[in-house]
Amino acid sequence: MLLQLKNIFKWVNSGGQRIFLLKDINLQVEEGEFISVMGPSGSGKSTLLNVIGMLDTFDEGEYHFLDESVHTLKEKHRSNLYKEYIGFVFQSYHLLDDLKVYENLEMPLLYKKFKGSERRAMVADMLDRFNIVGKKDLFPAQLSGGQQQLVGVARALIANPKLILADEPTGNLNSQQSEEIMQLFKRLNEEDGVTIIQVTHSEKNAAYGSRVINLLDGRMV
Amino acid sequence: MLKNYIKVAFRNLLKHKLFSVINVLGLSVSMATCLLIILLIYSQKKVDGFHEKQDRIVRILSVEENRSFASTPLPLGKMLSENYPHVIEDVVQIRSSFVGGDVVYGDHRIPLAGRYADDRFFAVFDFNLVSGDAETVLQEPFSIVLTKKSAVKLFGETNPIGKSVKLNDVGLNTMGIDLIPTENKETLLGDFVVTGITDNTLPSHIQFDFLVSMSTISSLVKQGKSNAIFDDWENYSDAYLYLLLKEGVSDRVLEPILKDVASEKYSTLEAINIRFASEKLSQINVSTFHQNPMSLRLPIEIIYVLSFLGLIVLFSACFNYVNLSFARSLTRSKEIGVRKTMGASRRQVFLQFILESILVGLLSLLIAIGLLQILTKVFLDLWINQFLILDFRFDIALFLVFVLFSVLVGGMAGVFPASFLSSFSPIKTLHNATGMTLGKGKRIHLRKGLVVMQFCASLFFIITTLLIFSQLNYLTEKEYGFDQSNVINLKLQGMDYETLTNELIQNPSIQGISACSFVPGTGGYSGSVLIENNSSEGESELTSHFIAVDQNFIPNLKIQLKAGTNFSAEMPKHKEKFVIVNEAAAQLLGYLVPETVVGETIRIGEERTALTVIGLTSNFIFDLLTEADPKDPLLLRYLPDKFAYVNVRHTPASNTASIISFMERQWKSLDKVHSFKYKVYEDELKATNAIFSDIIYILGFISFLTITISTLGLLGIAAFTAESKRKEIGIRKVHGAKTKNITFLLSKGFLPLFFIAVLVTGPLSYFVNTLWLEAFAYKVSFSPWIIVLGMGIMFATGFGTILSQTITAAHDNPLKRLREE
Repeated sequence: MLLQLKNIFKWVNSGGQRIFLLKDINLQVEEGEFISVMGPSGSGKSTLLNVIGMLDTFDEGEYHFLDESVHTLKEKHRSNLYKEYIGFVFQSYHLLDDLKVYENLEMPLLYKKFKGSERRAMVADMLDRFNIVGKKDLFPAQLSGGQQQLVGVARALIANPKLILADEPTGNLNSQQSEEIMQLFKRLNEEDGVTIIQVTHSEKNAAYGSRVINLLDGRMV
Repeated sequence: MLKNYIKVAFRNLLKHKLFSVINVLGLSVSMATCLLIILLIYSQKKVDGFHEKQDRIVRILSVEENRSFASTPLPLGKMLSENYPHVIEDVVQIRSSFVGGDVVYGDHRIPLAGRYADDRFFAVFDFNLVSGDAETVLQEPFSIVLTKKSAVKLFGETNPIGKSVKLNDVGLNTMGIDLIPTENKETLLGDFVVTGITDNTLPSHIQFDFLVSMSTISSLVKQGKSNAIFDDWENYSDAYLYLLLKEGVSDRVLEPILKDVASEKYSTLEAINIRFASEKLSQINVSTFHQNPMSLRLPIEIIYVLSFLGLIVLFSACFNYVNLSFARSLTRSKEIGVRKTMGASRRQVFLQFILESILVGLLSLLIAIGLLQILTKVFLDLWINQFLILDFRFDIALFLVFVLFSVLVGGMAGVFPASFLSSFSPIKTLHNATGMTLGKGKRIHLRKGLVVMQFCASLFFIITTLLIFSQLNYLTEKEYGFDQSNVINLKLQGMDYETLTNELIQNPSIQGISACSFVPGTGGYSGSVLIENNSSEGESELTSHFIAVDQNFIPNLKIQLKAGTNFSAEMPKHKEKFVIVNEAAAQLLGYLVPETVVGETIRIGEERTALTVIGLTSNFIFDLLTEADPKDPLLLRYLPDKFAYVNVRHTPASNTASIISFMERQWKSLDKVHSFKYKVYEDELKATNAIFSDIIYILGFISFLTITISTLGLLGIAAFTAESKRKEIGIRKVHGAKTKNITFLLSKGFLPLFFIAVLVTGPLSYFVNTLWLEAFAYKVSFSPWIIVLGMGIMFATGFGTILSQTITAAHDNPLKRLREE
């Protein structure tokens, strides 16, 4: 078991009323799963993803990640945990505009205390694996959307995470580029055993996964 | 990691050029100012740093109730060294009175200024003795040690050691640039043997062209050429005393010793109430001012004031950095979010932004060092610097200080923005970019506060500069009460004034010649004297300045004689009988109607010499304008022995240059030795206000910087305000808002800030400036119009800047803006 959410609630108070963003979420994810989270806008997909990714907190419930109880951990431990095990992929790629492709890939490693030689080897390996060696000295603005997302996925993978969280990874891409990214996810999942949780609107993309979770108004349906 | 941060920082600087230029420019000019001040302090600290035993050398001071003297009584040195050998290793004394005049070797006759120093001088101080033995050079009477420079002047290529020179003494002053005699007559002190040559080019507060052995004085006393008294405990302006303390002895040990000595010597003397204190050698050049100084230096107060001004400018530049960083935080928020999601901790992000600001600091340092070269040159050109001992050479330590300083400045500017930026939460910045709010609550107050402070500083400096400028203007146009135009003053330098007068008056262009002991209004001084008056009007006693003048002085300088008569040519030269007083003196003597003083008898000096007052002049200004007070009493006395200058009045039509060259020819025919020294009176008086020009330059420069920096800051803030309201502008324009509405909307936020600044700074600048203005007897009135004018200048520059940004923003095509959203 990779992670387990038990009776997770998250709410905000607005005008004296409690509005639930997440309501009684129970979810168990095994290693090697490929899960798609679906649901209409505002159903809590991204919030769920952020909670799993430990970027956001919740108000009630338990969250176990590997052997750790996330809900009892301090901020610092929590960030160490996600630093080590989780990689993020965003809809709008979120590459740093001022860094070259090579430097964007290197960036997460800087925060994980890898030596210079190790970093070079890991970045070279990743460029190779994604076939983007020729693009390593370009800035994000010089790449197409598909290529940018490719770099985004590569960046998420570079520190060998156990889990990839992808928030509408193909939302800004055309169908051919989407196809390529999804193929890539599938390959990573099947060949490398990376666990993937993606948020998506598209049935077609959801079909790449092994399990689909539907959300409505913060509830799993 | 560091490399990555620096790379990002550089790319960011290049990308946001306006922001970078404003910050680097502002920081570098303000840093350059601060570097100059650091350089100034550093160079002052370096003075006397070359003495190996400097940590153990102290100078003894004589302290009165509210002032202190750098000098001490002559016998103190001997007394201390004999009685406290367990504390004191060595003692050096230097006489405070100057020795100097023409030093003659063969045909060479060079005016040099020096000091009497005792034989331990070179054992205690490490002035480089090029030749001669440190222990003995100043032992024998009539020994002289020349500096390398004076030796070359006097001997050229010849080896001076063992040669004999004649020394004439007029007490030449070693302070400042002009060699000014402090004695009225020249004494041939005798033949001196050159025993050593010293290289005194390293900066020291002890300045001299030569040193003469102290033991010479006893011989001079016997010959009647000196009146020094070696056991006079009552005169504490006689000598400078330096002690070399024993190794391991703290100067605190001296405290009780000095206290004992003072109470032993002075407890029975009521007239004298002094105690002694000590001061480390390294402190001499940087501590508070003492009377009777060995040499002139920058008073520590000036350094404080300059540092304060420098810091204001620097803070202003830092405020810009803080303000612009906050304003720009939106553009960096995504980066922060991504970095944090990728595992960066808050500390790491904080570090990144601090490093970035330090980098800006270092970058500014590069430019600042370049600017410093220009600034130093300009600063050294200031009038005041001819009197200072400054050594502006660079060294590694100084460079390190500079680097450290710029790192500190960068860190200081960066700490607020860095802690703000690093606090961003990743979810807010990444998932909800539009929800990112910019500068709400406290932070907007901070930003507004900083803008207000900049407004305040600018306004304060504008008002102060305007006021000082008008005061300077007032002083330069102030009537002295005499007519200085078409007058040239010659220095007599020992020449008989009648001989000279007779030669000069031959020239038909010369209308009149008079003689005086000092030239009024130029800072000269010929002493003060006690006046006693017991007439029918009652008894009174006062101390008054006096000036020695001849019978031509009053008409020649067109001084108003209000009552009585002038001196007459027939008066005896040596027996003083008559005196002329000014109105202030008459009033102080008790004559409410000043004219009635004429004909009365007053007694002056220790001898109570009776003099008849024969005339009354107006209160013409005889002191420096900056010091002058219309209530200062003055006696005009007929004392031909004291004449040191002649005032030559020429016809307005005549050519000044040709008259000067005529006078120089005549001078050379009369005196083969001394060079012809003259000053055009008008120019001389203008030069006495030079210190004011210095202040105007410095303050003008500082206010220019403050205004420039805060204007740059405003420019940045206005640009970003416009930028962050792009959407609002677009929506408003689509709904029919006109350019002028938008411009007003964007600019009005600055108005209250401006008014707060005016409310704070108006009274403050009035109060602070009144403080210094009060020190002048002759001063302009502080008109509120100066404040209004200052506000006008402020308003024009400030809003000019803001409008330049807001108008452009308001003119933009609304559709373009909205489409991008």
